[in-house]
Amino acid sequence: MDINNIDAVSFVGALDRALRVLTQRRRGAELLFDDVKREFFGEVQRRADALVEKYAHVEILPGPFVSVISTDCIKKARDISKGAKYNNFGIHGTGIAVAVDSLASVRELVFEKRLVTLEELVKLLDTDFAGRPDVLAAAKAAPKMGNADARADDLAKELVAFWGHAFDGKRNDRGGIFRPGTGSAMYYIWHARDVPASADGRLKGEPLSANYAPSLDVPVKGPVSVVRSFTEPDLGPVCNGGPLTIEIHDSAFAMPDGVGKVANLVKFFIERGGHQMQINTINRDTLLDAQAHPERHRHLIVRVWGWSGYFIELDKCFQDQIIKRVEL
Amino acid sequence: MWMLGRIFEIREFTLHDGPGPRTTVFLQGCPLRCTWCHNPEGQEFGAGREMTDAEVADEVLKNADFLVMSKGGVTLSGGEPLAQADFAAAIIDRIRASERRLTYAIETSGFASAEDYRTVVSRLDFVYQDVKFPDLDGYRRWTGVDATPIFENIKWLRKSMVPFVARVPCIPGVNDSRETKSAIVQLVDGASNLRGIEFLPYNRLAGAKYAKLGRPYSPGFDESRDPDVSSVV
Repeated sequence: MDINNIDAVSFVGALDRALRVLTQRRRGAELLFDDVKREFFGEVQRRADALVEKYAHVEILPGPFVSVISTDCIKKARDISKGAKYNNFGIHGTGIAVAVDSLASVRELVFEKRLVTLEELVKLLDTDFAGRPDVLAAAKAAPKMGNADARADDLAKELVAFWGHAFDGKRNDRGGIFRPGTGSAMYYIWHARDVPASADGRLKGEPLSANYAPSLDVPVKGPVSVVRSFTEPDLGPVCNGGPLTIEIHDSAFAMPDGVGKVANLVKFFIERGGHQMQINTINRDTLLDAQAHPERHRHLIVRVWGWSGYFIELDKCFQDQIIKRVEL
Repeated sequence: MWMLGRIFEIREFTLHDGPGPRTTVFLQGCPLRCTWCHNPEGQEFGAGREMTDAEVADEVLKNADFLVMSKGGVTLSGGEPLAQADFAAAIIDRIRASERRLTYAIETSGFASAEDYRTVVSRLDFVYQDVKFPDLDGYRRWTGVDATPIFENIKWLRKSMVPFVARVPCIPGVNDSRETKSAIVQLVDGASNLRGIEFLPYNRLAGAKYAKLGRPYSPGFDESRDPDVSSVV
C-alpha cells in the first residue's frame, strides 16, 4: 500500500548540523558559500539514505477490509499489508522556507557583508542571538522566500532540485519507490522542537511554516509574489506533492467577485507549474477572539496541514502556529 | 526622461480597487485632513519614499503577466494621488508604454485643480470618486478644505466618458443620515457613466495606526456607534 506520510527530513535540522560540522572541521583553504551548500546537501542526502535504510522492511497490520477494495489484493490472494499494486513511500521535506531563508541569510551576513564569521553565527544560534541585536536584525532583513526575490528563490530552486532526486534508484522491499515531497504533515511542529534558533532570525521554539509556505511572520509583498517564488523551483520531481499553503483575509470573500479574483491566483499558480495549493480564509482577530472565547466560535473551521478542523479543538501549539501565518 | 515622486506603498493583489485583482500604488501626501483617515501615514507630503515613475512602473510590471491573465490592472490611491498629478500621469504613461493589456483606475477625493483632474482622469479606464459631503460646510468642518474644486471636478466627471463609482465613507452622526446621503446621491445621479454608489463603513481600526505614528486620534464623533451604510438609492 502507498504510505504518503511515512517520515520526513528536517531541512532546518540538516542545515543546523551542516553549519556545526563546517565550523568544527579544520580547514586549509578559506571557506566559501559553496562549501556551505555542499555540506548541507550532503547532510540532506545522509538523512534521506538513513530513512531508506529505516524503511527497507516495514511490518504493517493486516487490513482485510481495505484489501477487499484494493486493486490486485484478491487476485493475488495477498493482504494489502504485504504489498499491492502501489507500494510507494512518501517522505516530506520539512521547513523548506526556513532553510532557504537561513541559507540566504548565511550568504549575506557571513560571506557578503561579513557581519559575523560562521563560528560566531553558530554560537549566536545557541543563545538566540544574545548580545547581537544587529545580527538578529540583519538576519530578519535578509532575503526571504515568498517575495519573488531571486536571492532567496535561487536557493530554493537548488534545494528542491536536489531533494527531488535524493531517492533516485532506491526501492523498498515491496518494489515501491521513495517519493520526496514538499509537504510537512505534523513534522513542522515536531521538527521545530529539535532545533535551536536558525540563521534567518527564527528564535528557538518558534514554529516552522507548515507544508510549502513562507516562513511565519516574514514580510511578504503579497500572494502573487508568494506564488511566483514557490513556483520558481521545478516541482515535477518532488512527486509526493505538498501544498503551497496561503492565508487570504476573509474580507476577500465578502464581495461579489472576490472568489473569482482569488480563482485567478489559483490559475496563475497551476500555469506556473504548481501542483497543489490550499487556501485558508483567515481573520487573525477572529482567531485571537476564538482563543479567548472558544464558546463563541464553535463552528470556526481552519485548514491545518493536510486536513481541516475546528479551531477551538486544536492543541494550542497548532492554534498559535496558524495565528502566526502571514495573512494576505 | 523620468520624474521623481513620493509613494508610501505598492500593494499587490488588492481586491477592492477596481475590475479584477489589481496592484495599488499609494502616493504620499494629502491636502485633506479627514478626522477618520485610515491612512494617516499617507498624509504628510515629506514622508514616504522617493521613486521615479520608471521604478514604480518596473515594480508594477513585475506582475504584469498575472494582471493581464486575470483582467486586472493598476489603481492609484493615496494619500491624494492627484496632489502629485504629473507624477501620477507619468506612472500611467510609463506602464502603458509596455503595451500590456491592463486597466487603469484611481481612488480620489477630487481635491485638485481642474487641469490636474482632467489630465489624469482622461488617461484612466475607471474612477472611484469619493464623495463625503453634499456641501462645502461638511468638507470644511470635517476635512479642513474648501471643496469648491471637488464639486467642479465631479460636474466635469459626470459629463466625461470615464466610467466611475461614487464612494461614500459613512461616518456615524457625521454624514450617514438619510438626508445627507440623498443629497450626495443627487450630485452623481443620472450620469450615464455612473456605475454605482457604494456606502462604506469607515475603517474602525484606524486608531491603532495613529498610535504607531505617535499622533492622537480624536475623530470627533461617537466611535461606539455603527455607521448607517444602508443605501438610499
